[in-house]
Amino acid sequence: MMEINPDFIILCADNNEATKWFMYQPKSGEVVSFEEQFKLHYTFLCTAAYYVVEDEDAARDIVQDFFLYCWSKRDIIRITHDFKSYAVRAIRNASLNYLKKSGKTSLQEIAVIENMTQHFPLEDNEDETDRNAALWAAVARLPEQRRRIFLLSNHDGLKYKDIAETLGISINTVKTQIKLALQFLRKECRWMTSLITFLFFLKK
Amino acid sequence: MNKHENHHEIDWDKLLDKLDGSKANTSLNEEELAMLAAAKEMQSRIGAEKFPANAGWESFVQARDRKRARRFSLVKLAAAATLVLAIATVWWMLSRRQQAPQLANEMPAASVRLKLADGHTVTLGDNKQVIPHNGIAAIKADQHSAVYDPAATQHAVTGMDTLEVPRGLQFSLQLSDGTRVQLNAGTTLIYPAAFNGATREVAVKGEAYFEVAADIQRPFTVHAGMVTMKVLGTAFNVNTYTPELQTTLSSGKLLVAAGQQQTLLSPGEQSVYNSQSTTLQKRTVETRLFTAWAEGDLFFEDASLRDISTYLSRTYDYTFIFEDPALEKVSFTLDMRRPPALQDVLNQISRSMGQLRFRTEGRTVYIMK
Repeated sequence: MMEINPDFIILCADNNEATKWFMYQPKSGEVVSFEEQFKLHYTFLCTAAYYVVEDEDAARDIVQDFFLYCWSKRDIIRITHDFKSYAVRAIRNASLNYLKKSGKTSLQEIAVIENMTQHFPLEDNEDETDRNAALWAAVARLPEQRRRIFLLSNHDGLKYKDIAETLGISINTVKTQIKLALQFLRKECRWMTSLITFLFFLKK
Repeated sequence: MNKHENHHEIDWDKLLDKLDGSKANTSLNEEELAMLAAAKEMQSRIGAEKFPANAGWESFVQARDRKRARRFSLVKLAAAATLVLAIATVWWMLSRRQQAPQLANEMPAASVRLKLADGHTVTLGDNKQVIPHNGIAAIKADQHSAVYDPAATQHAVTGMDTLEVPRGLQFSLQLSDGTRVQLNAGTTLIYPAAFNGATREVAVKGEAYFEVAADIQRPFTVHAGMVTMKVLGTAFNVNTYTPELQTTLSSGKLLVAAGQQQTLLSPGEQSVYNSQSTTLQKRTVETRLFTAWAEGDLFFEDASLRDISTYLSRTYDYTFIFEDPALEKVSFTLDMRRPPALQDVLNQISRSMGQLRFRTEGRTVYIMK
């Protein structure tokens, strides 16, 4: 930040009018307003925060605070790369800080998560929406009961115990189905975080 | 860690416990970590639809406006305090007027002028204005800046506009392609309202700092007297005030040509064209010395008082007269934010150089011992 480089600039067209602030991204040749920029990246950035904090409201707050910061600094902010990669890095750091401050997660665990954030989300990945769609398509190919259990856990955030109660099945059945779902989905979506990337971490 | 034995095995009970939110401090092997990461990635991607952008924007607007309301009342308070202070100051100054020496606090008299390709001339004053170009509202401008709307000028006929920044003012301009140009006092820039051709070409006289919007399809060229600068995605400073034409590069690559000679600049390098000897040379410089002005700073390092006064006369539209010629050679280092009034710069100089004094008469400053 705060370097002179024309790759990305929020510039002033007219004081204080939300609609009159433009962000210029020569990389793609686009000029987008603050609102457009927000809407373009909001969902993805929330996903990035959620990956770390695993709390929907906290993820929303982190992303909103980031955009409020950008807004308050809109006349001086200068970003040396494109907006998305700057935003992903800022959100990642804010999310890790949130974990540290909350005190509920051990430092060792935070180190593991921090290491993982180097591989997801990727800053310059253009086809995020395609990947989400591919994952959903793979989820759709799961057998019905397995899909239901997987979504109750991953989408609705239910504990295994609660899923077992809701569906009237044993907790071990839930665990087995989750395991099979994870194995299948990971095989179907090979682009997902790979094994090799963790060697660095384990060598420490 | 005995990873050789079991790093391909996943202890699913352990891993699922972790995924289910257990805070137990268990260490995971490589394959377990990779699966954990994949599971987390799936969870995040599956959760993406819980964060719809429109709802996020609405919440953001509310939070922002709450903040703005708070700030506004603070600003009002500050404005009231400033007003009281200003009245007190004016009264104090009026009551002392008889004995007080004249201060170099004159604001610039002239305004920036924009000559449009169709022959109209617009004076850019205090008020914001929208200037139509070929019948389209294409330029938003005020006293300090102008922005060409890239959309509105797309199908405009390419004619050359001219922007004249008088002594005493600085100006920032955004061209229709997104290129930003900071113009120093006493500078003229000629450029098309829309870059419709295969190249982007502008001409400058004076001093300007360019932050060129990258566009590989249409190279950006700056003409300054005998020198031509071809931009390869770049921020740089051009100065034609000095007897030698200097081009200083902050970032990117820049091809500088003068007649048959040419040189490729890297960041931190400066090309110098001497129009007398018609030679083009390259040297390494401290970039900030040449670009600080574009960030609103006054920065001189071991510069002679003569050079400094030359610069200040342009920046504040004052004339300097050395009553003692020996003072011209006194060298001086100055690094400060550029204040609105020249007097603050003069105070700064005399504070660090006790034997130096300034006397102001109208728009003229006399320098003496």
